[in-house]
Amino acid sequence: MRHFDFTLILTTLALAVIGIIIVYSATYPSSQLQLYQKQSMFLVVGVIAMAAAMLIPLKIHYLLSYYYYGIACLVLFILLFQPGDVDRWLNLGFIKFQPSEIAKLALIFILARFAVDRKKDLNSVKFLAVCVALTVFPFILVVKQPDLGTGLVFVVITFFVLFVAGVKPLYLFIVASPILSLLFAFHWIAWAVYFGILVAVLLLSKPQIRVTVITTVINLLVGIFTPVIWNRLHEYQQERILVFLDPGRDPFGAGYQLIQSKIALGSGGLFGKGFLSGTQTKFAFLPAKATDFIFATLGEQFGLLGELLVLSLFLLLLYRITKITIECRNPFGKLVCTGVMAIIFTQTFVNVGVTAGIMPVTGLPLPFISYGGTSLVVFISMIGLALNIFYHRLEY
Amino acid sequence: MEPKKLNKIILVIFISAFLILAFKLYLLQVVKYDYYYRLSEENRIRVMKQKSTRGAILDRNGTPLILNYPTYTVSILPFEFDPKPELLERLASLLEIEDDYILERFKKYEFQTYDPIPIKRLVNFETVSILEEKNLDFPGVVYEVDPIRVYPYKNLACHVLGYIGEISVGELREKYVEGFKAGDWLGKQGVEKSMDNVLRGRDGVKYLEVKVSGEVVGSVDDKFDYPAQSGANVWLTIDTPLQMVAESIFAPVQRGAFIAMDPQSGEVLAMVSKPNFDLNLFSSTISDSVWERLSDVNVHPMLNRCVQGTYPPASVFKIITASAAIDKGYVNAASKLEPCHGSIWYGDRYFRCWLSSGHGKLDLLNAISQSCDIYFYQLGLRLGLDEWSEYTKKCRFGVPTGIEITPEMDGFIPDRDYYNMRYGRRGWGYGVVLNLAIGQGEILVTPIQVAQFVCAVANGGKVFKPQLVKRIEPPFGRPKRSKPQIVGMLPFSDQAITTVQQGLVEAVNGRWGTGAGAYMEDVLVAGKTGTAQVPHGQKSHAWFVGYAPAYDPQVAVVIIVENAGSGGAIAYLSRLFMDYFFHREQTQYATF
Repeated sequence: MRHFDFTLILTTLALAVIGIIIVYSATYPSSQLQLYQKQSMFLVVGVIAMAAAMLIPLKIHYLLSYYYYGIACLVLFILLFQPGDVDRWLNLGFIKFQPSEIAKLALIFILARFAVDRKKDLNSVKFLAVCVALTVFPFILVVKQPDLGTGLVFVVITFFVLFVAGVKPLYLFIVASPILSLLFAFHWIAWAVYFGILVAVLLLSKPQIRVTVITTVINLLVGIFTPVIWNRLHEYQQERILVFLDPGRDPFGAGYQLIQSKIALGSGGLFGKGFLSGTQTKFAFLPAKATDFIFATLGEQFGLLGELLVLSLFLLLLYRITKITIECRNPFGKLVCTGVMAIIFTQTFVNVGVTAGIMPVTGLPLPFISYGGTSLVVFISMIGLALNIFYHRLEY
Repeated sequence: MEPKKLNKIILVIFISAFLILAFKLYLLQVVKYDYYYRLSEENRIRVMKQKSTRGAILDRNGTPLILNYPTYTVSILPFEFDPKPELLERLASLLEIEDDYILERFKKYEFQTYDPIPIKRLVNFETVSILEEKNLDFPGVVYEVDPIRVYPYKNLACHVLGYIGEISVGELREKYVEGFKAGDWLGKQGVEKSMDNVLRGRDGVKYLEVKVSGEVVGSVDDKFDYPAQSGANVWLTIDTPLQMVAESIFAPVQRGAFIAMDPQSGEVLAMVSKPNFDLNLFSSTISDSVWERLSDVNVHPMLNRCVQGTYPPASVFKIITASAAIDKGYVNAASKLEPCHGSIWYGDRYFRCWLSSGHGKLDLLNAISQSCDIYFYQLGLRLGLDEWSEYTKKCRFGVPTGIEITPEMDGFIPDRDYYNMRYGRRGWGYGVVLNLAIGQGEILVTPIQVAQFVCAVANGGKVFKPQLVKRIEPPFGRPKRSKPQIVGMLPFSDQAITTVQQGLVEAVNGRWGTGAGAYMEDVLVAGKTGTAQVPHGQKSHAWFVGYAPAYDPQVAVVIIVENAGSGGAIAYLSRLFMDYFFHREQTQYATF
């Protein structure tokens, strides 16, 4: 077919239906059984949203992108001043949703537009500085919620979009270097090696002298002061920061969930215990077994083979979206598609990585599968966007 | 970039990321399958909190003021405990508590699934042995070693040390983000509260594999235990012998405060607040009658009057009025003002001197030493309200000193804005400044603010932050010393301070000095009395502030005794203290 990517549509629907089945099994047998009914309803809403996303001309998103971004940031900002505990939900009375899910799309649109408008000076300091600012602002707002996972997704989106837009990898490396410096600073040998590589890269690729000097100085300062500041903190302050970065350190909270998630996965074995035969469920162990840890629920029942099937579906989905990105001749559409790809990839990788215990517990839902209305509807409309771009891929 | 190359790069990233995931899943589900299968089907994991040992509190010489004593606490695990009636009954009779109480605790904290709920503290060793022996009869019941605080000196420095208690619902809501859980203990008062973060240490965790029957199989493979870490020891600036002397001097006092401070560093050497209480009361559950006595609103035994009591400073404040007037050049040491005939007329009424027969014509030094109110009324008028309140605020009254005790009261320094707001722009007379000049009226100060100020006067103008913690000694690593901290200078010229110092020496050593009770034969003492009038026709509060030796100060004292009459009447308390301070080698320790 020339106009519709049926593979993409079918893969998406397959994942969503698998999601509903797993949500059903995760809550079986308990009083939360209606969750899967709700999720089915969200799927219907999602399909409608997908149709809408296919029909709305991309040009409109291009024109409105600044407004999207402004509104999204404003809502995230208001969220911090909601009465009661700060959380991720905005309650408008008739509807309740998570603005951070929508902010991801807004960030894609504005970065894509900005990169298209400034096509000529993509590799200028000013352009990169503005892109960093555009990312950092919503990043801070979601991290304050606190939702580090979504903040991380913002960062990955920016790197992917800028990379595909044509920013030199060297510059992306320079932008990322202070963060890397911060991470390496906790081990001085690692940091010294990293710093050596950084300087070598800078000397070999010869960017402007100014850029070289500033990058070196910033990295040096970060590398020197991070351990100094860290050691001045009280132990309890350090611990609080570490738990924030990795809630799995809290043995009575997320840490316990993590063990249980590994037990659920591991005991599933190659073939799984069979549908509705998961034993971890009977301990009612995870409040998040239908959301953040849904992959463990899947693994316990359907085993490694079931997981590989789902991961293959994700890979197929990503492959199709990548293909659209590559073939698309409209620069704005190309970058929007890149952003969609980046989000789906990051969330899938992080979510499964958390469940398997190779990443800090970040609380990101698994696209299409985790229970959650906002997440499902937004992801399906992203596919709608991709289909829209596919339809118009040959137009400039 | 070329589309084909881009395509390749992206796909390589995706595929390798997914391969990493697949490999890790393979390790979990195929390689370690048996282990996890056993955990999921037969056994479960129990997370045991390892309580950290709270740091000790010692005095400046290393004498322990608070010790830890190991006891046992029996808890239930909400995840494993099944509240069947027969189990509840068996447990209740073993621990000698009500079974309803266990059920109530269980229901209240059931939500914290994996975290033990303490149901009885201070359980004796025999009971614990029974639990250990018959642990199959008590599924989901565990015991932990739980050190309690013991206070060898009972009442000594109780307001400084403070006590610890179980976290309240309100505190839990506030501190949940810091990792506090229901049933945790934390400092509630004094240094125990302000240094809680340092003293507490960090609880550890042990992961155990447990059979459904409750039998412990062993530790868990892939999750590392981390041991509990003891809290840091805190060394105070308090000097136990001095504190004992101060407390014994204060033994007859019903309500009052005593502070001894090192004027060269701001270190608090002794701090007494009366009435006080035995800290050991807080180590176990407090009975209602004791609690009633402790929370009596008329007496407030829990209040640390040194930092939480506010009083009018009375004639003690003549030090500020005099210094300010000299600093402005209105008077000098020899200036004589209108003579004192016992009262003066200002505005619409008489303002009286405490000596109704009058002091006659005095110079400034004599006015300070005899505390003549008429002289200071006149100084107040020359200064005016604005200058007076500006100087007073610059002497750091009206703001907390930052000593390591919370909450600290601000006190209150009235100014023009306050009177305008309170009485309207024309609703108040300028006579207020007469009262303020002698430390009466709306003004309120805390004894610790006064001590900070007296130390600054004694050392020539350096304002040190009052300090209770001398050293923090973590279990590992280098101890941290708190250095003396100068937070400002008195807003007076050196000459003003020197003149006032002379006046203070006169007040104790002069022929007519009001503070003669503090006089010592071999040490030159400087000081000032104060008599703070209180409403309701009660007896006045008596103040004495002083320091010695006058020109090389080593110690400063601030004493306030509520409803004791005139300051002159309690000045001898300072002498008793300083007598020990300067002759401690000759004095028998055992007499106290």
